[in-house]
Amino acid sequence: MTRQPTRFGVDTGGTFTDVICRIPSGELAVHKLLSTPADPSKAIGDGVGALKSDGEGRREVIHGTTVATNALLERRGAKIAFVTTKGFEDLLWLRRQTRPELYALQVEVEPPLVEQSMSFGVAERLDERGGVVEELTDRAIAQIVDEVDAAEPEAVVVCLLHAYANEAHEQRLVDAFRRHREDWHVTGACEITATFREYERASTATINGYVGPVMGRYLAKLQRRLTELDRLEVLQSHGGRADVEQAGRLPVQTVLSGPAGGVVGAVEAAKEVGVEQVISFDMGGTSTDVSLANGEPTLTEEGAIGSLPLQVPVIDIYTVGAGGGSIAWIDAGGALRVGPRSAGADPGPAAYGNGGNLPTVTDAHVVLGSLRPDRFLGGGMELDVEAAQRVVGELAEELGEDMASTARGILEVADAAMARAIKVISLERGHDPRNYSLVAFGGAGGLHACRLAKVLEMDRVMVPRFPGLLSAVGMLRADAKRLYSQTALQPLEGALKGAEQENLKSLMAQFENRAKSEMGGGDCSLSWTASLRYEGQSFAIALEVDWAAGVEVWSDPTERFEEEHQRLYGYRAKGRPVELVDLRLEARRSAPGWTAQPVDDDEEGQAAPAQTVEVDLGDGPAPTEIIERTQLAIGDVVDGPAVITEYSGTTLVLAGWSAENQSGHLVLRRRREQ
Amino acid sequence: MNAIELEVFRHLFASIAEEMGVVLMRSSFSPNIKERRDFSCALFDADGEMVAQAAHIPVHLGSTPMSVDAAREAVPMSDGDHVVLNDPYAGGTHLPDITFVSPLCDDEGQVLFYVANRAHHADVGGGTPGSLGLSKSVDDEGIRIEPTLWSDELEERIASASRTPEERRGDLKAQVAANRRGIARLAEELDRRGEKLLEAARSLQDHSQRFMAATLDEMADGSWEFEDILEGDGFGSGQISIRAEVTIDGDRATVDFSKSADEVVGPFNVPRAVTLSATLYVFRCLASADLPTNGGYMRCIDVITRSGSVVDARYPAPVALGNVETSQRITDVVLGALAKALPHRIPAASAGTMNNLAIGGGDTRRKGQPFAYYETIAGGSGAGPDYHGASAVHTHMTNTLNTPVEALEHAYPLRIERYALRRKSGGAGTYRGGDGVIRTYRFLAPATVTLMTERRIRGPYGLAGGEDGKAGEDRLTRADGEIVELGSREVIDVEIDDRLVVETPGGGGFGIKKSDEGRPG
Repeated sequence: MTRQPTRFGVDTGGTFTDVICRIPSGELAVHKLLSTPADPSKAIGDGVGALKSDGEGRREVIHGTTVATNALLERRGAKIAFVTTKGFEDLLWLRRQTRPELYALQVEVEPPLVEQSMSFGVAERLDERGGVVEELTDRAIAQIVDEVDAAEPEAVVVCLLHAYANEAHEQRLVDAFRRHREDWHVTGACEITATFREYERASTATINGYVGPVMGRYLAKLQRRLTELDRLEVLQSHGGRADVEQAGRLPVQTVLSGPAGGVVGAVEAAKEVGVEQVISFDMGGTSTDVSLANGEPTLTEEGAIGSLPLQVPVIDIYTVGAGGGSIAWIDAGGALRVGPRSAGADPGPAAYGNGGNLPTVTDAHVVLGSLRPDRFLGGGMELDVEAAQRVVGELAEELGEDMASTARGILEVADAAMARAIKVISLERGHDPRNYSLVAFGGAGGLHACRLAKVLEMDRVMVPRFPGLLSAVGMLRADAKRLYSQTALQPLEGALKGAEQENLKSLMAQFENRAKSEMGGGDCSLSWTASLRYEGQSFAIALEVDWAAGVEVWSDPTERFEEEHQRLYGYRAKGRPVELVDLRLEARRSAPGWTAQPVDDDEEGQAAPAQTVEVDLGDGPAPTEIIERTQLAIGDVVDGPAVITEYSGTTLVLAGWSAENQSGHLVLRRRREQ
Repeated sequence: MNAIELEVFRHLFASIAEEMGVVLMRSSFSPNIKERRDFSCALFDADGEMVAQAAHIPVHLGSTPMSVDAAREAVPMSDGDHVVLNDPYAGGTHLPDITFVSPLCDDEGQVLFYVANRAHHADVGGGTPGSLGLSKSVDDEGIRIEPTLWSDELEERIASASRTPEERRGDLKAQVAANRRGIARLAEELDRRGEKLLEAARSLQDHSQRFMAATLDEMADGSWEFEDILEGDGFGSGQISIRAEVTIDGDRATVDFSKSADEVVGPFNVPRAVTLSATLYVFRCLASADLPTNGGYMRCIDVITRSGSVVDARYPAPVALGNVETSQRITDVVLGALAKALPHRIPAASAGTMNNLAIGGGDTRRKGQPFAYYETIAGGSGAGPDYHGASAVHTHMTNTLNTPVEALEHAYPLRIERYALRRKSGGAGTYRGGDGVIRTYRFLAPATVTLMTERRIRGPYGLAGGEDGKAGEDRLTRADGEIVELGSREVIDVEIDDRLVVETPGGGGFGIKKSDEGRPG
């Protein structure tokens, strides 16, 4: 039997780098250290080095990186040459013609990642079925290579019209650029996603080229910090792991790596207590991320970085500008608003005592007693109660309310914004939140989870173990995964038989072979998804199908499609032809098994004794038990009202709710009416 | 209702309107709705005053409330009913915009709320494909529906009037589904919150009113006038004057359009609803982005129009293009007047036209199956006191997406040969206007093309010494090489391999161009 490696999950955040390590026997160790933004690989090397592995064994490091994201947000990416079909050189500047703000005197649009002088047209044209309208000549290829070379790019992005229907032209150009200069990072748009809609595909490819060289340098440096024996992997935005080679070639798949880790961590933690239907709720200082999962995270291909479309599968995470640091204010009509402005980490909420003088969500919690001043960060940071009372008091005066009801109001308004975000990912997508468990993490998740569950009539809340480093946990739990998509627009009826089916089978065989080889052969599972729509619609519904290259008879998914359409949109258009839009292949290899084990946890400091104090959890001050989470043994139950504190967060248990320590996770349930 | 509850309920109502929009967009059939998002969804109280609107299309802002009014007055509604209308003279704007209004009633059958959605249908009959051609009467512009209860017969009537009946049926189903969703959500919230929900609707409107009053109160009092033109009605009217006098008096504003031209023969008239929408849009932009969009703020603004004028037309004046073109000019004149009051806030004129293109015929690739396609093409936005204009962007009364070239070529017998920025079309100035767009269509089947545009003679105005944006230009190159220069009102038959080139206007510049300023002294 081969020895299992010691595995490390590493999440690089803006402030902290979180490391969790699991040795083959199942023991876990965690470590949190300050990030090193100038060279993020330093903190990773140090963090991994600080935790013991079991001596001679191999190490596997799974990494959630913000390098690509930061390069995009700070606009520090590569100099790109963008090559497209002649006549469409301005594609990236034309966008979809819309403006982001409907009611604004100044129209502001986000500039593309390419300089205008770096956009090139090449003479060639395909039609919508992939037929050649204008041949791409060798002469044209030679000419464009020269032009691009003269412009001295670091990366080249090729996106030709209708290439999803016939990749030949695009591939010839990509090959020519790769041959011409090996040091160029070359992206063919259809290598990422062979789906229609030229602007979205081009934007996606451009993001890839922009972050490619940055990511390549970073991964090389990181690999050097680890030893040769170490295997490095990167978590992709869809929640699956990829090896370094793929991450370097298709870094666009990693731009939402960190948040994806949190969702995977939440979903896997919930499974340990037998829950599959999860709404993950990650509330940080300036914003809150929510996502819905049915055993698996929900994916979307309608993501964006800022306003630049990102047409690759990413976990469908919705972000709202409300967090612990969000500032409360009164608008011109006299309504209380919270966010999107945030006090951030510096100066932070008034209660941090760093000169913050505007009331925030955190300050409201301090005023009401739900954040305990002596237990913040395990007692490592004393909160300034007077400062919180002062700023909330000032707002109360302006509103003509008392301080406590103002503080309660701040929390209620923040809850309303977050509840709306949860409705977007649940109700708007056809899911009733009452059938889901709210899994809370992030610095402020536990403070609001029970409150939100009450607003949304959800019966179950969970605060997993390690709520402060759930993303790193997610890295360890993620499966190795690759996703491929291909536009295959045609009537569904025809696709299920005869020549059309044979065509699809040979296309699918190509993808299946590519997937197996890119997964390194062996025991990976393959599954196909077909996205379908009524002929004439634009938005398709994705359904898993039993189709594959080697499967003789394919089931007809029409009935399932119509049921889903009915569920989502309230009607079915019986008799209207159904159209196949895209085929997607998922190749997956499961992460090694996981059983919960005791932990060597440097997060959990000295436990403070339980006490009972007056806390206002929304209905006025009431005697409330304050308990250290580490004091709860497996199976212990705490009835609300209670406040459960730990190093990286606080969990509120409202009256009428109880919390149980189940396998190390806190599970909160609404108590049955007496 | 206190400051806290206001905000809680604002989120609640807005999320219902947004959810309606998602249902409509994702389950509809015509590119206008699903790709271009030419629709809007809103909630109303029992008196027909708007409670919340999802941020979709500005031109529907003030006109949807009038649809709800018209529906309420014409048809007594009970739970499960939907009232449908598109009659510009009974709550509509122009015939392609079909509106659904549905009530939520209490146990006694008393209406508590209405929901409404409006969507632009690609073809509702009339003389030309896309229903945006030149006609002299609204009765020739397509099927006209006075407020009528929804039924299978009505669906059939609308579908059979259209050149693309199947698409109509699908879109109409999606509109019903959107309203049902809105009603279901409102009913759930009513169960949860009872009377409080009704109180919240009123309080939110009062809040929005206070918000706008505070905005207006900050402005200096006074009266300012501005005039601009439309280039003609397509039947020899000559230039059509649009004039606005804006008066700010304390916390109220009055906008008087009485001096605008009389009704015209061609389809550039608008019903009062559109004038109201355009005006409300401008004031909505003046207020901060935080202003909740509901009926409350509309109470602070009086709009005066003269019945029988081009901005307050009477039956049977044709209106097909008024909604898309005249509405833009109304925006320009209100902004132009306000620029005199607020010279450091108001930008120069944007493209000022939606560059409407409708193409219809038989798709030779699909056994001659009829098709009708409509799109609007972006232009440049106006520069401001400290910023350049944006290029290739839809401005003011519309914000529809383009149809991707790859989607368009799948759906229609067209090939786009060029899609580009129209360089240097933005007006020069300290700050440059944004550039317009060039789009070249090659026809793969014979078709009828309707091209209705504005700003083809004089470009969008510059401000504070900035130059005007470049006027648009369009031409048809026949397959044999003959070049036909096109005007701003064209209905033309095209043959296979003819090419149409549309070049849209740039935005106006702001301030005197630096190099033209006085020499250092």
